[in-house]
Amino acid sequence: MKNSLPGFTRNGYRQWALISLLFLTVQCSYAQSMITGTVTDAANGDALAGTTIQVKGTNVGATTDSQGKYQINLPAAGKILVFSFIGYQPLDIVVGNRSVVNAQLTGTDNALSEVVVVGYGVQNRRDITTAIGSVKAKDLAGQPVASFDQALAAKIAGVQVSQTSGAPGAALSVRVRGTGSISAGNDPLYVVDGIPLSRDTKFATGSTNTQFPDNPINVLSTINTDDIESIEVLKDASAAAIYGSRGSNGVVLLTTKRGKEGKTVINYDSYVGVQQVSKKIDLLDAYQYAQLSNEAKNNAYLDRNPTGKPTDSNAIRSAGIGAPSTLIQPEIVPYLSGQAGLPSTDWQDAIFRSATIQNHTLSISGGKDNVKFYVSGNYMNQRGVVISSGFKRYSTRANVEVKSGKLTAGINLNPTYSYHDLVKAEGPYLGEGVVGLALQSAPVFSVYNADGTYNFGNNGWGYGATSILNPVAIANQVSDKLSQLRVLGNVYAQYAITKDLSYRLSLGTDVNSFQRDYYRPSTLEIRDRKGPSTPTGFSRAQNFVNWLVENTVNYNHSFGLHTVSALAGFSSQKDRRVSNELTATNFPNDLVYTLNAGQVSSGSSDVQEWSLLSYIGRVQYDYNGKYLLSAAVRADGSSRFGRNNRFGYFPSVSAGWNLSQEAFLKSVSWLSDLKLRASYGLTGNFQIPNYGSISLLNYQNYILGNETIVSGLAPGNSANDKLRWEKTAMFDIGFDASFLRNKLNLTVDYYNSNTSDLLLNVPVPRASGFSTELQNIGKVNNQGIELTLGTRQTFGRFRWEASANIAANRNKVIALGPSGDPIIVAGGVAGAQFITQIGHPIGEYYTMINDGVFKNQAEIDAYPHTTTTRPGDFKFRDVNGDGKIDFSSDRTVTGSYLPKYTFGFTNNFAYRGFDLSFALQGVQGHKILNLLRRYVYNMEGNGNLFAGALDRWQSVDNPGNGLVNRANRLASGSNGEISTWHIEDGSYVRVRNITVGYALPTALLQKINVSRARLYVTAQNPFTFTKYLGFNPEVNSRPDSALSSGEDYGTYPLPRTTSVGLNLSF
Amino acid sequence: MKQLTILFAAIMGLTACQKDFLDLKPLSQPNVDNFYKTANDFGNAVNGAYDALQSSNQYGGDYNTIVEARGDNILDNDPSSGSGLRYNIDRFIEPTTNSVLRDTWGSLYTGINRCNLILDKIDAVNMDATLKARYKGEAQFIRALSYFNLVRLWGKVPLVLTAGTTTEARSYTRNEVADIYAAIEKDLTAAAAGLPATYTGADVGRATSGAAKGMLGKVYVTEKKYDLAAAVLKDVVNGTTYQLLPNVGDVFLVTNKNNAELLFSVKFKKGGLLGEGHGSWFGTSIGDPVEPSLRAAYSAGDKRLPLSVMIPVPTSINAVPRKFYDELSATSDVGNDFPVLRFADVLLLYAEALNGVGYQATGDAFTALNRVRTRAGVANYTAAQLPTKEAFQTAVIRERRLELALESDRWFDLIRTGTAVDAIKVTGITMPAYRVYYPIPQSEIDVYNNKTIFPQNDGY
Repeated sequence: MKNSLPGFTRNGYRQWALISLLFLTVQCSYAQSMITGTVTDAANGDALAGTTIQVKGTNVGATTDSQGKYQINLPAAGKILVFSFIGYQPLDIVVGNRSVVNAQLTGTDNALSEVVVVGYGVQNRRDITTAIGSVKAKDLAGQPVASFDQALAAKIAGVQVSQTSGAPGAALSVRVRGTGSISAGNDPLYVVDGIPLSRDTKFATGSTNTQFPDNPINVLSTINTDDIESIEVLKDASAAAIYGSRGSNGVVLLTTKRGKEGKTVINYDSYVGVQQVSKKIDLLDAYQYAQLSNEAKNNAYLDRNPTGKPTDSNAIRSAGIGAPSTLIQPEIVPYLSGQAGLPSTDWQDAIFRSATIQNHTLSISGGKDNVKFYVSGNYMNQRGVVISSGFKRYSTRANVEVKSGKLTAGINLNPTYSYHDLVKAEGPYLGEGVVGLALQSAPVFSVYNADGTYNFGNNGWGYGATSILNPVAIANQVSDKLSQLRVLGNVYAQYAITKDLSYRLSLGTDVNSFQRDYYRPSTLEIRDRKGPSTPTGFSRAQNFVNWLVENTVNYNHSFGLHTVSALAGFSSQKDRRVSNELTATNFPNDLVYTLNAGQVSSGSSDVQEWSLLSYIGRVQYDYNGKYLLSAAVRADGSSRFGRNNRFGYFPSVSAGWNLSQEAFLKSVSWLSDLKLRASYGLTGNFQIPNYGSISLLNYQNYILGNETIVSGLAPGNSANDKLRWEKTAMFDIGFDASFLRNKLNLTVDYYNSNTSDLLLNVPVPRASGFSTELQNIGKVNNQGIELTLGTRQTFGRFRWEASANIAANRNKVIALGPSGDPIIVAGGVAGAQFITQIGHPIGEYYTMINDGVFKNQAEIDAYPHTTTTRPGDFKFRDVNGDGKIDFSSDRTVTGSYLPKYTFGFTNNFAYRGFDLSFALQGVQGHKILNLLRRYVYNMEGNGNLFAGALDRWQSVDNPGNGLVNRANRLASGSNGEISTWHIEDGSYVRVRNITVGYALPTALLQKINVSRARLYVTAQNPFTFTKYLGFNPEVNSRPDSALSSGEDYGTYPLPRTTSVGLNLSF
Repeated sequence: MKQLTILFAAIMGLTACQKDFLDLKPLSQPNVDNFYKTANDFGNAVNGAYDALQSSNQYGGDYNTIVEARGDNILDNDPSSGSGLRYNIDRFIEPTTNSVLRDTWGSLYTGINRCNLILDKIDAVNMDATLKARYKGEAQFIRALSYFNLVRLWGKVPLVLTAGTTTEARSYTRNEVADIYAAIEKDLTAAAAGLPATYTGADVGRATSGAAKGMLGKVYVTEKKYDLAAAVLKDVVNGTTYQLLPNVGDVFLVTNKNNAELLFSVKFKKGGLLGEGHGSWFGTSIGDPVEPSLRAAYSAGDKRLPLSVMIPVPTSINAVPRKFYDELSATSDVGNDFPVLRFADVLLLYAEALNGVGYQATGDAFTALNRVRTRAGVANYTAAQLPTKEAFQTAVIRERRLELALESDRWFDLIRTGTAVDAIKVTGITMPAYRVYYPIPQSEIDVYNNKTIFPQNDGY
């Protein structure tokens, strides 16, 4: 197997030849001697086949065979052998007068020896004293997803990535160690190559509907995953404290790829795939729907007109009470008579499709003569599984670094253009969410009329039916385009003042320009209105300019066994957002969508700014690699804080003890490494409104005279000069251990974090003129355990790597508001309440309990019920036991969206050129408030229903499964009240990804000048195991509202993607 | 290195002045610190106070539920929508957490706070004395109207007459009903003195002295201070500014806004995206919401009967009562003005007040009552038909129902005459007697969390 990896060998030759040329001017031939030896893995003693051995300063080389053995002719001038193997640290060995030279190589991806990016620097994993999770490029590559955060799912213990929407390029919800904040954001801070990104861009370009907001786009999807070298998540407050008032929710550090000294490498990474919707929901067919609708009408009629008969004609019913809701729709009559072969529309099929996805990255990197570079270009095109939706990205990156003497300077530049074709998928029929509409649309209607126009029969149907717009027409006819142009980058210069002391200046900028154009044509009806509508359109632009200046001084000094490093610096950052919006209506036709064609009906423009001035300092001390200490502080002054509270101070300390370095543990052979860590730090959350401390006036206009709009102004909020950041104090203790010569790694962390001075819109007496005031009050505790177990095994040529992580977080509110009263907020509908109360997690569901249906009158008589309850109606629990059903006092806590625990499990197998990997993600013990059940499981026969409706109560003799209420167009017994009927278990286990790859033999490739070629097939989201009835158990209609999380009011389903990919290196 | 030093110094300079760097003022929204300084500011603030009345929690929508559907004119037949939020109010089963009530309470105090800020700050500002008197009068009128609605809906409520901080607000208590009425009377008396009798041009629609007097008369009648009511209403009845339109249907037409019958309307305009329109009042697609007993109460040929008949709205599946008919704008809103006080109301109040002072078989009371009936095309009442004070009073209240149907008056008439329980019974709904007042919103009870200073209304 001497030539098992000729590609690498050849590369090695070329590389060393180059270096030889650079550093040696004279080469001579001398007498030679034969050296032999074996190369093994330092961690486990396994033979390393294919290791390159090079005689330093010459182009003489060799490769190890399958037993790790080699032999090489050492020229007389040769003194040093250089051993190199991919994935291992190169090793130089002085030969001396030996003839046998054995080498032990240390793996670079050994968990404890890897380099980890920390805030304002890098550290060896061995020296880390805080809780930091890390993911490397190879663990992100190849997944057919639009943004890196999706690929992060399941990878790091305590980092919960929820894909709340499956729309291409849609924002995800990322939570690090639970939910600390109630009303400021819970998103982590993202820092790309040292530039902290502003969260404000997340909500750029707004929504088409304020009541049922769109899932925001993912502004991070501008970053090409293929460009990322590593992602570090600073989980504990000590690690994050260096980011001060922005560190409370954790910090995600992205480092992009740099060029490496040596041969220029060209990489081409590409995949192409097909996506399908990962789930379809079982609904009634047209016949079943017609039966149910008829039953619902009859029950509503007979409830109100006890002398009536189910056979009464519409003419008779019209005269009775409750018309027109009791009238039978003529459209369902043919189905009732059992006539065969009538159409039954599958509205899900009508809005879902197979859609392609493709991604291509070409990069060139290398380094020579003090210049290192990485340049890449990327194109991604993901069509959506919902018709008419899609996402495209064009991105380029140039990372260049130049060195000249003591000065190093560089630039990282990443211009991108992304383009979203949006389709409103969120929200129920009222919000024109196409997914909810597709579920609700009556299957007796066809998508198109005979003449090819859209069928709007379900809108303004009459007969007391809810108007449902044709979702296919909405998706196809509404034009909603959003583009994002972003230039993200920095320039920096670093000057080595002395050997130990260096100064660095970095100027960063993140410029974002969003443009959204919306047009709703006349051919799309408006709900409850028949015929052509008046077209409306808007055009919104938001421009963000964010700049950052950072000055830091670094000091590193070793003396004896002591190593000290220190960092000091200050930075200023400012963000300016300019927004413009124009709205137009009365377009004469649908020929032109831009607003010049219509009459501009309103316009607005808005500028907002924030600024942040910071001082940072950090000292790290290391004694002989055994005892590690670190202390840091950041002072942040922010324009957002009240004038009496401008500056916040965020200190932290941490310590580590490498126990395995101690003499008493060195002899324990099964223990390779053991480090204990403890840390404590204070961080902040400055995600408060830009001008939250000031009493602002709102425009409150009035009408006078002859329909004249007159300007009015009135205060919109009360002032609070003391407003400031939320602060989190977190204590973390943990250990990192490796066993059995680093074959097994274990990391365990326990943390306890208290977030105080919570920003709350505290209810104030309304007689003050305001309903709430923004105050710093309240406290939330999060504590949890994280465990990560990894292993690396080699059985001959078979390699196996696996990593499993599990995390449990417990969230508890400690203090709230001045009186400590619970905060109760409503979700998508008034009765859908959420309660946040002391001693409980944030935002629990607060609803009635449903105990199935009353099967007969005797059961009703025996239990409290509403005045209108009849057999077949819901049995609500009399929680307070007062013998009455009361929809305010009988409410109780009925579940939480916060999971009991989350886990991830990834596996990689490699054998010869083959590789196989899969990743699992599990979230367990959370509940979802499935508000779509208000419509798709309400038994009103208004729109279509879940297939579970077949188990409904139909009569005393035919009570169904005892859970599903009777059909009734005009619900009695308050069946529509939000209760546990609407709450479902959301636990799931999802196979995120399965990939099978094959690397072509290098011998073959060499001939075509290719150094590496790998083909792979990937299945993304192939399987999900859950009892949840909706599309996606990760759903959350309001991911940014901790007080009311976990609602499903219609969502874009996740795609299931099958793709084939190619990695090529030249 | 030299260049680096210069750059370094430049950047130091950039961030050296940290106070300026961090002290960022809002660029696109004015704030309280630089407002309430000029006459123009107060003009804007007064407009902002009127805006509160427009709120969908007040005349813009919710009064249809809490003052009209609550009574015996309208039946809310939709237990499904909003989980029965409005239905529950109609059926007298609303819990203390009902958000319609909470929001209306809040909106009324929002308006009161806007008036308080004006009245607190205007005296210190130099401006034309007539204009100042008018601004004050407008604020007093809006504040009085808001308290009049509050006290009738909830009884004892906090009486706040100067803008306080949110901290001060925590010590407010529920003031006596009599004190609240005293404040309303005082405001309206002052407004009647400070406001002009009429406006021109783009000021038409502001509160007038006549509107303040008429409103004061209504307050007095509600308090059964009939002599005071008769005196103040007489001015309006005998004046020439306001009169009955010959055709009752013309009063409500969207093409006939600001007509001579209207003392005060809350004004709307449809079609804008600035939110100056409202949704169709009583618009529905699920059947006729008008109580059969209302229709039955009209005699044949009564010109007011067609005003409560539901007619379809073009391009919509909804129907609305003719009284509030308007075609939908492109944004599906409509622009009817809400008639808060009109001359027919004043005549009926005047009749009631005179009769309250003492029954007279001939005289102004009968004249006033019959003016309204004549206009409606129905026969005049004679002393033979209404031989007693009680019979006359009953007839006036019945006439008010017919004349002012759907105008958010009926429920107040029922509770001030103590006839609510019986009237509601006719519609087949049982009204517990304690529900003459609405429950204080639970959120408000929770904020004070003190049963002594801030108790719930009886029965809830």
